[in-house]
Amino acid sequence: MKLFKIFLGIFISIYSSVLLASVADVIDKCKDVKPEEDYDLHIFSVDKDDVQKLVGFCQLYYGIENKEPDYINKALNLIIERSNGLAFLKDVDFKIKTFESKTDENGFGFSYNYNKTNPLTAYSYNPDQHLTTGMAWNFSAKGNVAFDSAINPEDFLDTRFSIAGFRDYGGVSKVATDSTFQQLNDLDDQAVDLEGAALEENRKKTKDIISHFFSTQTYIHYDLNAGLESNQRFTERQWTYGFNVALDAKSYNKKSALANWNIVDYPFALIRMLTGYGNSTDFKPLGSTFPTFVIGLDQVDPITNSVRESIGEKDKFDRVKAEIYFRTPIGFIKQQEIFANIDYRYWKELSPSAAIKSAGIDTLNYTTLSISSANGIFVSYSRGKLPFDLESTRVYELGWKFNFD
Amino acid sequence: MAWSSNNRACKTVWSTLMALDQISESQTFKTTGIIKIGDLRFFPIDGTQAVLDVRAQSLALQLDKIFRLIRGATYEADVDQLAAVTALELILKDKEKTVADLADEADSKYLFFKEGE
Repeated sequence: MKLFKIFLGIFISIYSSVLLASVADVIDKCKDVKPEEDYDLHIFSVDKDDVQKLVGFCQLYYGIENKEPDYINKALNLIIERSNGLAFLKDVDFKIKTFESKTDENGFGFSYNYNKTNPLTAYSYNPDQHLTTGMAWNFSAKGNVAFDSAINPEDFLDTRFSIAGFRDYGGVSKVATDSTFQQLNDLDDQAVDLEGAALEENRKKTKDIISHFFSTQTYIHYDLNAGLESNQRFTERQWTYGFNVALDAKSYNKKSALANWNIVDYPFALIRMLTGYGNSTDFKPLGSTFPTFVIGLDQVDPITNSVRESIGEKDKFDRVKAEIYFRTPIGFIKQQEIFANIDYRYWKELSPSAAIKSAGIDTLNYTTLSISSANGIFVSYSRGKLPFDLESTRVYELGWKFNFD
Repeated sequence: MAWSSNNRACKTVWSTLMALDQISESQTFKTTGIIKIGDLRFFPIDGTQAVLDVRAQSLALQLDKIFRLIRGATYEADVDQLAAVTALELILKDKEKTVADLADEADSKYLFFKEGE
């Protein structure tokens, strides 16, 4: 609660200096303001723009007081925008969030995500194979921190430096001519004011023309990396050194072999078929939603790892890790597109000791399944162990996210 | 730059995202500019940073190829493939950016076919 009073104080001080003369004045007026568009303007004898600002402020004020993360983040963004001292946070995806433990305890905390990439070489492009290659270095830091660490269900911080390269093949099979360029421009010009069936007919025609020049795109990423993994209190931490290889293959043609190989999409293609998604009743797996695969090999150097130490293990160990990510459309609700999302992560220790095996920490996996739309997550379910977890965690999220922008 | 039907970059980005299955065929031009990057189909809402890095760069490279080879765009002066793709990739990694932001970046890096005519 003390933290929120401090936060409220900072927010009101900065915002009120822009809008009104004093903090007391703002709070006093907020008591009477109702967030309605047609709010009676004569109450404050101010113009409509000022009332809208005040209503926006009061929504934020009460949102923060009610501990709603969306309002808190919106207020935080205002503070960051207006404060030179906090300018560095603009490059960090910093968000206040709520945590719910498996014992249904609630609490506040924050997440952060910083990612910086700089190229090491210019890209090389081979027009015969439509092959692009390049190299870059990257620094990233990401994690979730709960103010009460005991309730953090995703207690894992990852800070990493890497040198990475990529090879991108195909995607386009041949080069179009000026007549095609013009034809596509003309179709776009005609389509901008269209809606409904006329729009879809135009778009299908555009897609057919573009698809004629498509081939399967195969993107391969590789990197060498070193990082520090820890829990939020740094009581558990370990260095990791290793390499990753990732594959992202996509096919945008209606009939592609890759689409047929996208077996993860089969159940969702069935849903799309049954619901008439895209005005089609065909069973049509999508080559454009083929899963992304990341695999890697790490050497792990535990500094403090209480789980391993409790069974007498302090040495370095090797592990393989993998991640599969998949996202595909399944339908529309009130013109909002609905997606199914699957993320599966896996870690396996190579040549584990008998003690590690019997403790059940030689293999870890973590799965998140969710249904989402542009309005946020409808339902989400996460299950499994992350590194440093003592036991499996289940996290359910059910609800709505509203965008106030 | 505002999302405008008079801007060739906006129209080309709209069409290209549709061709790449990032938005549906029924998505009107007017309502596309405000779509957030995090709502495009490629964006891994539950995945790790590694997955986002891969998918964003892969899509940025494909956008670059379509702009140049199928839509007749060329790079603006002093812009090469590295600068253009990196700029698109940065937008594609930020879930709060919009398709209008992507079109703005594309407009600054590419001279689209008969742009301004």
